[in-house]
Amino acid sequence: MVLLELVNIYKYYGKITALEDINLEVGKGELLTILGPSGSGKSTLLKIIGGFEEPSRGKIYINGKLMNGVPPYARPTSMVFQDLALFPHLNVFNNIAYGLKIKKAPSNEIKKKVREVAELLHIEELLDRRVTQLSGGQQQRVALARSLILEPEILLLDEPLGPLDVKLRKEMQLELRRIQKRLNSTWIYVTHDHEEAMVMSDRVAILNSGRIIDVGVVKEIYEKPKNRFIAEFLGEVNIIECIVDHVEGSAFTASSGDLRIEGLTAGKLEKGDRVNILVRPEKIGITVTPLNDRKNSVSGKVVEIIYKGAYSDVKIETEDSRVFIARTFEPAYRVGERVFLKWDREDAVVIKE
Amino acid sequence: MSLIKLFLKIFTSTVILLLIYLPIALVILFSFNDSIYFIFPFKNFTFKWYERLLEDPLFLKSIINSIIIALAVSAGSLSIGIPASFAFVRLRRNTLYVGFIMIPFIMPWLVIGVSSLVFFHTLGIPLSILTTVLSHIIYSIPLVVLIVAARLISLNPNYEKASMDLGANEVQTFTYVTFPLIYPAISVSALITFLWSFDNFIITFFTIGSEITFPIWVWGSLRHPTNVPVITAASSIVILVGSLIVYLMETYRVKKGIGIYAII
Ligand SMILES: Nc1ncnc2c1ncn2[C@@H]1O[C@H](COP(=O)(O)OP(=O)(O)O)[C@@H](O)[C@H]1O
Ligand SMILES: [Mg+2]
Repeated sequence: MVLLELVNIYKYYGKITALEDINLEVGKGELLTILGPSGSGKSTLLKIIGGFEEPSRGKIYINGKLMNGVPPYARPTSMVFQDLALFPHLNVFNNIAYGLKIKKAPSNEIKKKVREVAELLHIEELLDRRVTQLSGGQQQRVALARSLILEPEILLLDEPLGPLDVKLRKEMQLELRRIQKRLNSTWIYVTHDHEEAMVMSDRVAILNSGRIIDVGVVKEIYEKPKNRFIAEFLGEVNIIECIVDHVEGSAFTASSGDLRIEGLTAGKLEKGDRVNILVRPEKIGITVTPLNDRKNSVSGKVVEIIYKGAYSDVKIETEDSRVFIARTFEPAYRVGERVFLKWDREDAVVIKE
Repeated sequence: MSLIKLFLKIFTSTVILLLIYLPIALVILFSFNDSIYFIFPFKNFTFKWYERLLEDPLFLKSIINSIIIALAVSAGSLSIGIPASFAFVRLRRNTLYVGFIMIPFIMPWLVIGVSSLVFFHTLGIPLSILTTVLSHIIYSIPLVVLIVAARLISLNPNYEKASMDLGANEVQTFTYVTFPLIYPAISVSALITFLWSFDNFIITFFTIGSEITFPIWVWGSLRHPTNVPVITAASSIVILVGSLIVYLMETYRVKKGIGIYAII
């Protein structure tokens, strides 16, 4: 069931085009991530959904009702701001209770609901504190509680975990996801961090320079990116530019200098086509023993080992000066060592230029 | 480092003590001195200047008038200055007008006093407490705008947006979020405009006509040498009451945990 529908949304700030022809549908109970680099228009899009900005053109529907011109307080949405905007003159309890007090809910109902949402977010002990006395993570939870207590049809979150340190951010990501599933509510979550987007979302919309360049299930977009920008934006990727030699059904061979590549494609290819072959670092195997099969494989010297905690990225330079990155969980290699790389043809993504 | 700190500490405390509190202490001291000359050695201890003061009906009247004027000025300048601050901060394009409203601030008091006199005279409005209040308000508005606008500019606009997002309309948002957050600035400007008006002599002198205020009463008393010690008694009372008010307000401020930073 479609809850939110954006149709041909444009937003101009003077000469700046912040959003261009945005079309998007969000279903009930879904967590949609809007992923894009800084300045791509993510916040602007959220503000338009929440009613803080009017689109220059286009229509917004929530539950089939036209929302253009409807003020924020009359929309069934609630926003967790990028800077949280907790009211500094109110304590935690009154921050959370604010929306219900405005609605003139009876005080015992307010108390009950505040307690419930505080339990959900593990902040029962903080209710008497001033918001200025809380840590970043605690403020985060209060901001979330303040919105969730109103049970909005759509919760809008603008890079809410931005200021937190990495460890806390990872914990909060999982917890937010858990809460969203438990409440079965609809969330639109903005982030510029592709790893966060993968953890958080059912679907992801990728925004670049004010345009949605792809929408879909995050795993599919990651594994079958439509173009180079998306592939590179979603993390480290090896790209080989080559020319198709031979096509047979869905299989093809291509070459790039000395390199022989085998691949599979769903689309149409012809001999002589220029294509980009994309291989993720984690899909590349490393070995020190020479390989018999010369297809989909390269050899080179290790030039750098980038330690990333659970895994390491090994940077390899070939004799014809190509650079490859392969991911390994056992960093048993030394800089300067000669290694061999190999990948399966199923793991390479083909993008026509 | 600590030597510099120590020096600064001693320097500031000495300057504050000598320049501000010593003259005040002298005034209080001489208000109990049985002589019309302010010279040591101290003569006999006496309450007679206080008795003379309380016998003077003009003194009480001048104080009451000054309070009435100051209250009216405070209320008047706030009710114009606060909306003006909102207009300036929220409709940022009108920067030129900010300069215009600051003009009374730049003009010498004497000029405002004289021009007010000419203005009321030309219009045929008789001088009274009302004309004084109007002239004071002109000068107080910039004070209010400076203080309130500074607070408004530093106010994160997302507080109001969050309030609207949580279901509050414009009026509720102003009542429950905007006003409480700028309240310290409003109370400070109320206090400052009150005190400024209470203290003002020059503008009052030109616009008050035959009425009297405390500074006018002091001025009048200065012309009778035998009355000068009475002024010290009056000053002592004003200083004492003023200090008491400041003390109560500061206790309240500290109790509420409002830091200096929250004032502006
Ligand atoms: N109020 C505004 N006035 C003018 N330009 C704006 C305004 N808000 C955003 N922009 C511009 O619109 C573009 C998108 O901004 P924003 O939505 O904040 O990006 P993001 O949240 O993805 O970082 C940027 O180029 C930004 O400079
Ligand atoms: Mg943003």
